[in-house]
This record gives sequence, C-alpha cells and structure tokens, in this order.
Amino acid sequence: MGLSATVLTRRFSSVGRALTAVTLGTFAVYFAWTALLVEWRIQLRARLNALDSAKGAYFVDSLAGQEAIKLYGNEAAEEQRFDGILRSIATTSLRSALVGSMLNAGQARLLSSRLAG
Amino acid sequence: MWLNLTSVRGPTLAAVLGYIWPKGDWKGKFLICVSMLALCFAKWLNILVPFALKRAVDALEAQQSTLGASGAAVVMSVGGPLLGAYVAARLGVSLANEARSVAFAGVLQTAARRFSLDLFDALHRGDAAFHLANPTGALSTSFARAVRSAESRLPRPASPPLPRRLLPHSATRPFVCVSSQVRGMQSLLFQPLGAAKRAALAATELTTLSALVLEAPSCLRTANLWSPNQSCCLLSGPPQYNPGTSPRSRQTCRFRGF
Repeated sequence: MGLSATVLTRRFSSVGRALTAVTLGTFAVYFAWTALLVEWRIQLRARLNALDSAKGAYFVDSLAGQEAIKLYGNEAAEEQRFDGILRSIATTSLRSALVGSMLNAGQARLLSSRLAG
Repeated sequence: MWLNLTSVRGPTLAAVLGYIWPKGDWKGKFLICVSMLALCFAKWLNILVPFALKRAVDALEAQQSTLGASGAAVVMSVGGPLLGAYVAARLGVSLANEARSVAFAGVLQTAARRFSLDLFDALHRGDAAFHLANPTGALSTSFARAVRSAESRLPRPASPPLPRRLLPHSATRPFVCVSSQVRGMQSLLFQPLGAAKRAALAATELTTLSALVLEAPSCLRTANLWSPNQSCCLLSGPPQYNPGTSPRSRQTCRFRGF
C-alpha cells in the first residue's frame, strides 16, 4: 500500500497527490467499515452459539422429563417454549446474514464509488 | 445420508417443497419471489457490466482521437457518465446478489424452524416404549444432525452459469474475440458435458433431499444403530417387533408429521 502510494505520488505529479489521498482514504474507510461490521457479527455469532446451547439443553431436558410432561398433558406448552428459542435463533441468524450482506455491499459500494471518483 | 432412488415419490417431494413453499405463508412466498427476481436482475446486470465498460472506453478513445492528447478534465467530462454507468452496474450486481441472499436467508430460517418443531412434536408424541428404546442423548444428537442436514439440503437459489449459446450473437462477440478458435472449440466440446453434469447434480440433490425426509424418522430411530432387531416406530402405536426386517427398511414406519 505504501509502495503504491509512493508510485502514485511520484508518477503522476500533478494529480498524484489527489489520487494518493483518495486511495489512502478508501483503504481507511474500508478498514473501519470491515472492522465495525465484523465486530458486530462476532457478537451476533456469540449470541447464536448461546442460543444453540440453550436449544440443545432445553431439548434434552424436555425429553428427559417426557414422562411427567405426558402425565400432565403439557406437550403444547413445551412446544411453545421450544418454538420461542427457535424463533430467536431464526431472528438472530437472519440478522447475522443481514450484517454479512451489509459488509459485502458496503465494501462493493466503497470500491465502486472510488473507482468512479 | 445414503441414496435410495426408489424412495422418490410424489408425496415426499411435496413434503420437502412444503417447507420451502409453505401453504398460507404469504410472507415466505413473497420473499422467495423477491429473491428470484433479485437473482434474475443480478444476472441481467452482470451481462451488462462488460458492455458498459466497453462503451466507456470507446467513448474515451473517440474523444482522445478527435481532440488529441487532452487534459484529464476534458476526458472525464465525456467519459464520466459512461464510467459512472459501468460502476453503477457493478454496484447493482452486488446489491442484487445481497438482496437475494438476505431474502432467502429468511425463508431458510423459517423452514429450518418449522422442520425442527415438527421433529420435536413427533418425538413428544412417541410413546413410552419409544423413549425407552431411544436414550435422550442419542435422540438429541440425531435431532441436531437431522436439522443441520435439513438446513444444508434445502434448495437455495444459485445463479446457474448462463450457456453462451443462449446469449445473442452480439453479446458473445466480445468474449469470443478474446481467444477465438480455441475457446469456441472448448465451449462446443464442454458445454453439453457441463449441462449434463449440472442436470445430474440437480437430480442428485433433489433425490438426496427427498431421501432426507424419508430418512428423518429413521434418523431418529437411532436404536437401530446398536440393536437392529428392536425397531419400534415413531408414531404408529405399539412398538412392532420385526426380527425379519433389515434395520434400514422403512416400510413399517409412517411419519405422520409429513
């Protein structure tokens, strides 16, 4: 990067400075955007992992207490609670996909706009 | 997951597609339509991108030949809009691709959620004999495996590579010109092969998918893994003792969830 900046500045003396500034600025914004969204996505991923363990734990507990549940006819309530976990898993992973897409789209937008500008 | 070609039947396929195209779920259907439209839009834009670049470069060259070597400002004033169109097309491709994947992620998540809820429901409806035969830990493991494989097997919209012959001749020319004869021969030779391969892959995927739904109950009957003789069914009342049947035969088991 430093090499390309040097080449740009030396080679195109009149517009070279502007070109170098644009290049460096693009890299800086790109870096910041990537770091921000990856950090966000890591958080979502951690929550997704926690939810996944919660799902597994609830599944095992529910089936281990299956006799009692059958005794009291509680299947519907169990299913509702399980569905709650599943729903939040779906929401979180959808949000994670959205963040990943935002990352990709933002990177593409940045590169395209600097290509034009 | 092993394949059984004879197990592909109409109702099975309908059961598989029922998760992707659920009855009464208008939001899911709308999302699928959106992602398909985005797919087509991205494909169309992707074809336009090289032409936009070609037009921009042509305009710049024409400008340079008439004016001679001119300043960057003059060149940009002419080629700028065209270059902008090229950049916009490139940007549009990536945006449409992202829209497709996000729209379809929602569909996939809903399908996976419904699938695991159905399995959970079926397990809770199993009787005491079933739960005696299948330890909870084994059920949990195979439940996770079933849901994971369902998630990975659900069909998702991938943009198929466009055969060059489908494009008009004017569209193919810039590409063919690059390396004329060799490319032509190659594409003539390999395109039918590639199409056949893709068709075979799609057929395999579809078969695997429907095998999965047939497999889901037997995936849960993990008792078969260590005691082949004790094959008790998930939902069909009292456990049936069939010493004669092989552990993999699924004829005795009906999975009412599907």
